[in-house]
Amino acid sequence: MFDSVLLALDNLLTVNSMGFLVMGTCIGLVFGAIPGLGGTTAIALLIPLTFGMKEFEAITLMGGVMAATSTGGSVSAILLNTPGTAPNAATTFDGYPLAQQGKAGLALGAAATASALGGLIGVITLVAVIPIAKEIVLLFAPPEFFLLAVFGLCAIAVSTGGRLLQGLITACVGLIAGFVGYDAVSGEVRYDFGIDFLWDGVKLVPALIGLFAIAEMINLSVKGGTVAENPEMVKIQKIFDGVKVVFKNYPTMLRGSAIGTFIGAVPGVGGTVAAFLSYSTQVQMAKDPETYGKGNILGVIAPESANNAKDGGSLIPTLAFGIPGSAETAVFLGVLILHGLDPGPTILFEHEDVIFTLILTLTISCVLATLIVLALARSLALLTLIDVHVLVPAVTVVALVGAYALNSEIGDVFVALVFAVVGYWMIRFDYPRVTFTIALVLGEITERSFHQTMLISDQNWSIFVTRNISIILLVLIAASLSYPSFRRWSKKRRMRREGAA
Amino acid sequence: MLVRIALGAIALAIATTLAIPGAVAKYPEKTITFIIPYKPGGGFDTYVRALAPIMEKRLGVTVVPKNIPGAGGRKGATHLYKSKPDGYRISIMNLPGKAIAAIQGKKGVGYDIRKFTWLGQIASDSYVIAVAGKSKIKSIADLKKLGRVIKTAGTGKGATSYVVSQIAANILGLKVKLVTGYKGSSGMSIAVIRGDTDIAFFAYRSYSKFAKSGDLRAIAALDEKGAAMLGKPGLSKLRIHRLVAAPPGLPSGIKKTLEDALFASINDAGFKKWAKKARRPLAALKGKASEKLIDELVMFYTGHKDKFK
Amino acid sequence: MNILAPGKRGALYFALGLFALTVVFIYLSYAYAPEVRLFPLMVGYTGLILCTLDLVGLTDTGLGRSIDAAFSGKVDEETRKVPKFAPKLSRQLIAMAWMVGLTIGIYLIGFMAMVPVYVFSSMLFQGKKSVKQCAYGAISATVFIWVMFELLLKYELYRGVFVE
Repeated sequence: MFDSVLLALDNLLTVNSMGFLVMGTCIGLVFGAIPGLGGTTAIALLIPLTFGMKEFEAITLMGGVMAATSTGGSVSAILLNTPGTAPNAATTFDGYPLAQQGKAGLALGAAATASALGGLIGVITLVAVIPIAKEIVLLFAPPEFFLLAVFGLCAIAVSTGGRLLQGLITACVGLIAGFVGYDAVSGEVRYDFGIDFLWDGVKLVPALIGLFAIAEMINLSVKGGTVAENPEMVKIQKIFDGVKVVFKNYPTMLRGSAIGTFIGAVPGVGGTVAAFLSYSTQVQMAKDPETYGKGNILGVIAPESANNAKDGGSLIPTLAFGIPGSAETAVFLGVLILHGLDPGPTILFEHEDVIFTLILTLTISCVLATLIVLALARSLALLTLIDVHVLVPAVTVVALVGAYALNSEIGDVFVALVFAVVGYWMIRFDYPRVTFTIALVLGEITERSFHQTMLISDQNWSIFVTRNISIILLVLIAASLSYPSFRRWSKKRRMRREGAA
Repeated sequence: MLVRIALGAIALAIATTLAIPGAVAKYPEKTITFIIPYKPGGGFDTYVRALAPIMEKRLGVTVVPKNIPGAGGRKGATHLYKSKPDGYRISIMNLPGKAIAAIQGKKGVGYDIRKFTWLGQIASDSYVIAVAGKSKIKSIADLKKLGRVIKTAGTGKGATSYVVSQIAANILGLKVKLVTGYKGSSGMSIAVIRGDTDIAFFAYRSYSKFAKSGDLRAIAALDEKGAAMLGKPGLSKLRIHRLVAAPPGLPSGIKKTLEDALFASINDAGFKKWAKKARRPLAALKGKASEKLIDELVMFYTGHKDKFK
Repeated sequence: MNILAPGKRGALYFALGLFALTVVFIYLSYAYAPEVRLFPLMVGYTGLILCTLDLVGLTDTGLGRSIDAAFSGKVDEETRKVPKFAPKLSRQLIAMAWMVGLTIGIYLIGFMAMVPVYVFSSMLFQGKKSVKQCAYGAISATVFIWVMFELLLKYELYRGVFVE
């Protein structure tokens, strides 16, 4: 293993490789920041460019892109309420209110720092668990996938503060939207209204662009003014305060990274769920949950550390069996195949140097991306001072082009519009968008793993209570659902005691 | 200057006309889109992305791979079927997957598999029946001895793995129950290794990676030799085919250009070298042979229509 | 008849909308085979129950108040406040109409034609900017999108329904 690390370093420390790494990082940042583009698109578009490269050069380019996208995505999430990539959606909840308060610089600094640290922790964990990677992947079978998805839905619904009921409703609506399209289990196309565009279902990225970006643009043009309600604040921002606040609140960052790595390792669940779950855990564990969603810096640190840690986690299934843990790794493995490698369960034995080149690249790139964002944060924060009547048209058109660019389908632009209108009313009437998003992400895997469980167990529901991890997950679900009642009860008791005293 | 441009244009026109006898003048003259009816990163995706730059050199225009995923590949196929037959849209297609959904009459099938213009075959692979490396089952006979319904993993109803398992089980006299919803062959491998299901049917290439690591073990091969050993030669008809199609009614001149470029590209030394290194099987066929193959296969599958309802 | 909790008229329409959506969804589900509709129906009926609770919770009745409190995790009735920012309905509808117009415009004449038209007119009519500023805005947005997507990324952006 040590030889491979040296060999990987040797591969990496050439002018060419470093050049490609920096290039990949910059491309990743830009693609991350523009909604709709993101890592998968970037890697797919760069494939022809890698044909002339040596394989490890291609790896540094692709690795640079992979590690930088979610850092780039945090910038637009904070400044414009527009998640650059899907996992950044959770960052908007507190990042954008901070920008509105004129603290965009602080939020950008914290997000970038949390990203770098989360990324590093993810990679370190990855290296540490290599010996037991196979066992980890095999731990989760369909019953566990199903319960994990239900747990994710419940935990996130509970974290919506005083709106649990509405959170559960929007979760149902999100699942309903997720049912549209092809159902792999039965091989049927459902709820398509005869429109063949819908055969592939409602896609997450255009939905998020509508739900967050365009809905907020509608909101802004109703309100007028500028994003930052306190322009003076923006100018005196110290970016470095954002760096410090992450180190000061290291438990939040560590927790976020742990959640990110773990969830990132579960194929089909991925970064969006990781970031949301990290956010909701943070809210639930906080002493002052009512400050979240209104500009609590911890609400930025939690999801941002998680969504970079997931890159390390998503490589666990790759190292174990040569299978992708995320859409990005799927395309990345495709690049390896095009370069004549044959990733499979023996990938670690056959191509150890390739793996370590990738790991080192991810490490360097996530730090580099952070440094770039920190250097630019001050000027980027000035975006919040632009008159909304200039900002809204500009952001709207780029967001809609982004929605289209994902799959080159005009239908996706309409999806973004529908979700924008729904999203706007959801903001207005305080129906949580968190649960809606997460249900849309988890809908497919929930249904699929439910059916698989039933087929595997021959319709025997006891399968859910006869497996160790399933039981743990059931307990977690029960605990998360009863949490608000428990909280209310203990608060009441405390008040009574204080009243008595 | 103008004269030179004009002369150049004439020379070019003559050259193209001579090169492609009977063709519509000046094909190809713009970007050709090579559709992959699946998400980026899978097996079909890789073949197309490896092939595109080589075809580009032969045809002299850009060949852009484009993923149109959805409905288990039916969306992309339907898209191609409805496209203009001008030679600027072609797609990779898998059989029997694409044929079966049509034979079943499923919703979301907007095409007639036999009416496509078939340009050729890139690759074809035989199947194996595999169990987990640690499993005690050693043969088909062992499976039958279990005396219960055998669970097998698949991607979805109507997909290639589904068709193969239903027909093979029928021929072998096995009672199988399909657990669907796994993502590609890697998802199926994990399902078998984890013990979700007893067996799964894999294309030989996908299986071989996991055999090397000892995670999967074949109990029967469905190639010609293996099928003969099982005493059921009909099983060797079950193969996965990766073909290339154009919309129905493609003019014969354009068809010839594309067909020749495709065939030459698959036989290109660079492409062959890649396929060998990345361990991807190749089996180049021309358009005519592909059409014959499709007719045979559709007949074969229609004969087993009642097995997959 | 004023059983509705104060300031909840808009929320009532939205809740009714969600209720209706769930009902339509359940109705549509019955078109599919039992195994195909099983899971959607589980979700549909759960949603229907939740929507009903939500509607009752909006009423200013004893039951409504206790539903609202049970799910909110809060001790008192501080939650039942009227939202502080309540813009005029017409203003909100106009803002949305711009987005709808933009989308339909893109569908009809494509991105490269619709982007400058939208940016220009939005800045002019919504933002009350000078014609010169609007022109600058329109040109820079269009050039950015063209350079970024068409030139650098080699996308062929949608050209409208009239172009094949």
